[in-house]
Amino acid sequence: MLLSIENVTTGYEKAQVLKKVNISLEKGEIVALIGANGAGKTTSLRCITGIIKPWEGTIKFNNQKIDALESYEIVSLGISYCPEGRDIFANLSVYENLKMGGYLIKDRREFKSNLNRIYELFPRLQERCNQIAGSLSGGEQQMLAIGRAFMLKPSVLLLDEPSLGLAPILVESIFKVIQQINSSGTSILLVEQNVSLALELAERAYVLEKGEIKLSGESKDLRESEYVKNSYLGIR
Amino acid sequence: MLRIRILESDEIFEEQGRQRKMVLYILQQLVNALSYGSILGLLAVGYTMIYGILGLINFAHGEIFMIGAFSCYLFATVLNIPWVIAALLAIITSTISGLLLERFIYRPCIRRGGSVLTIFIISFAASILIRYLFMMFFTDTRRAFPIPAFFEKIYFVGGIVIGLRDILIFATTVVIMLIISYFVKYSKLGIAMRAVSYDKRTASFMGVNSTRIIKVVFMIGSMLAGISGLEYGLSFGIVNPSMGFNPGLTGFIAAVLGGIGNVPGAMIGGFIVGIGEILFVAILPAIYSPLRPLFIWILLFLILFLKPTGLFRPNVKFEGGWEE
Amino acid sequence: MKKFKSTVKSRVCYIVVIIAAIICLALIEKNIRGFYLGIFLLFGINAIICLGVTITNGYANIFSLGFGGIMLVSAYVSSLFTLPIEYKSSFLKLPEWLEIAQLPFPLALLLGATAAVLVSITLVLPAFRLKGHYFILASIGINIVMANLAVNSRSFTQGPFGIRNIPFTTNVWWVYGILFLTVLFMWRFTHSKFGRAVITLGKDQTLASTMGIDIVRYKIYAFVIGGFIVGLAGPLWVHYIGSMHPHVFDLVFVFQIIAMLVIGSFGTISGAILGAGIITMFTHLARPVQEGFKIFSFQVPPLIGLIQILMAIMIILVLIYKPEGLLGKKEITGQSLQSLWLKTRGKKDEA
Repeated sequence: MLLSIENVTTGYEKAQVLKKVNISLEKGEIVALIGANGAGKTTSLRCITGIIKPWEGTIKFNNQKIDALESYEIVSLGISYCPEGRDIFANLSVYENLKMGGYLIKDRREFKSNLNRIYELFPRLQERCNQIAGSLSGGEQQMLAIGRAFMLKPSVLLLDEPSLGLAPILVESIFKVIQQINSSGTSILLVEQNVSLALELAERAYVLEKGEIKLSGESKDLRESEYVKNSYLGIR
Repeated sequence: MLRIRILESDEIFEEQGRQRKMVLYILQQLVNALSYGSILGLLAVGYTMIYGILGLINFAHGEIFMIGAFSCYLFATVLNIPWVIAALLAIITSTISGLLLERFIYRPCIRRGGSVLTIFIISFAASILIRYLFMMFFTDTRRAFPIPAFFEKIYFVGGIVIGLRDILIFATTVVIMLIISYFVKYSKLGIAMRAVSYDKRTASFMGVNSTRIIKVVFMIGSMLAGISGLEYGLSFGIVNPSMGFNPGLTGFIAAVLGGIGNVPGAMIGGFIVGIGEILFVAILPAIYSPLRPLFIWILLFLILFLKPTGLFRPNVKFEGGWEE
Repeated sequence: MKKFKSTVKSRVCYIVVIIAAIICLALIEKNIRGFYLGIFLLFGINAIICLGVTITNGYANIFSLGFGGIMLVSAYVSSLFTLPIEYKSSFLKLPEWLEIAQLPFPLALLLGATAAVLVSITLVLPAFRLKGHYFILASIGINIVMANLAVNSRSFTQGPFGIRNIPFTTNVWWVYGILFLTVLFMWRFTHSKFGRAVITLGKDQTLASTMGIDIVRYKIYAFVIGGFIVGLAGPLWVHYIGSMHPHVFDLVFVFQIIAMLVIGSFGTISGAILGAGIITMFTHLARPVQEGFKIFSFQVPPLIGLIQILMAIMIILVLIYKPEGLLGKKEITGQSLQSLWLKTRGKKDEA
């Protein structure tokens, strides 16, 4: 197991959000976390990246416990996070944002080659490389956020709602890029509200409801399940 | 007829002489203002960097300035250390003071979730603490700042006196400012600083240790304050423990003028205030001189009235404070 | 047992306490002099200042440090109307009507406070364009500008030398009477619709505006009321000391008041008074230490500035470890005293 959330119960201040959640990610996989708003999907990702500490349970990466580490230390282990709402640095240019993405890269040549890889994946970013990030469109910002997270060629990429607020054409092209990223060796944990797309992209998925794992399994099975079809796919 | 013409040319000559004297006088004041503007500019940049990264006004910045100047005096005059080494030690001392301030006063406060108000008051208290500590141990008498003979060279250029001091101070400041601008705009650390000031949490997702970045910013800001203190000592020749308050406040005003958080803005703000203050005293009749502090404040009020966030664009996510 | 406030018992209690207080004050006035009387009076005056600042900075959350300048104005105004004519004619150059003006203290006091109100109004209106730190900076500027103006208006203020021979009209009755009225006012204020609007405004501006509270107007009210109260304290102060100069309410003074509020608490009446008490006592009792003393025949030299240093350290420690001040958000009321009393007697709180 590359990354695992083991029996984690946690929340914010006094409000419990997750209850004994178990999620695992194997090398090379794309796994989706689906569920309604407030189910705890973003909280799970935040727990992995160290913003919230688990009250019970533990988080392991490469069989090493990481739940006591600071966010910036977790990144250096190889886990990159692309937050919900993109959170790009609006005061910096596209290039500077990507440079921040590659902050931990020491070697200049490695930085350049990673940068070029991102530009290959997202030609639009290269066109606008000196533009201030705050003036980009929603889709371009999402590309920037993903590109920035991928600069370090992480082992694990956590994506939080990449399709949020984007036109369907854009969503398709972004999901294609996600697949390319995955084929190059990065495992992906994807939080998505768009259930059908998520199940298309991911091999496995977990269904979170009110902080608990309601269902889990291979995507093709979940797609056929009556429960998922009724609650999330709107098919009766 | 001839006589009248001769009188006229006399008058013209007198008038030209008076005008030339006026111009020379103003130019002379401007030369002085270059040093003063440099001093303020460096202070303003320090203020603005710390505000940009932490959202806090470091009231104790003026005291770091004082520590720079005063410790140089202590090293050179009291301990008899050669001036250049004393100056370097002074810069190191002020840098360390800034780091101590961050570590023991600001960091614990922020870590416990101090509100912006709380941090403000604590920085005020810190400045009083440092100032009165020095006043208690060293008494607030004015001392002569050691000025090596090398600096006392003077040049006469077309009727104006330009000291080597002024040139060096101005040149050093310009060089420092260019380096800092370049650093903030292009270096990885500089971009990281701007990223952290915009969004500390997201920056940590890039692997940026924000505590380290904050330390670096305090280091740079305090170094600048220390250098500014040295420049002040060289320019004005007098140091004492309470010298930090007025330049500190003026430097802060300059930073606000330039748009808080905006580094080049702070530099320009420093020169505007410096030149403005000197010209104010130079041009108005002498009875108005005691109103000099008033001038700065009125300038500030005017600018804030017309442009409440300063002359240039501020560089922080929260522009100016918490009352949004 | 019913709530403390509503029973007849509580009414009687209050009256008894008030009568006792009056008797105490009378005794104090008769018997205590000099140093200790000074501390007592200054404590009262500081408490009044703290309460005034609490309305502006605490309730309405307008962090203004300009009350020093406002107090300066009120103090000068009240002095000018009470100075002996001989003094005015020999040292100052005043317009005829001002020179012969001699008002009884209560009138001069009110005039001073009114001046404070006028200054407050003039200042607060343009200040609204400023946010956060810019506003604080401007408020610091008020102090400096006022002091500077005072230094430069020689004919009215004798510049940096200040004025003397201010009649010693402050006594325990004035100070504690005004203090009592202020506390009463603030108590009613916090329980009135108006007061609650201001407090909501202070807590959360956006929430307040959605509730229909006119932010600008209420802020102005809060600022001006605070200005009035500190405008009462200014004259009280200088009519106790007997002289004043442009820097009597400078930033060091402002700092001391802030220290009182930090230690006490920023948003409560009891906090303001408690803070005033602690700092006033500390300042005065520590003064002899500052002047130098002997321990075991070892002469410790005078340590000028020790008081400020210790106060600064106190503020820093309180702000790091207990930022809401010693009292936090709680007020000392009849009710809380009653429950405290019950607790110490081992009975459960039945309120």
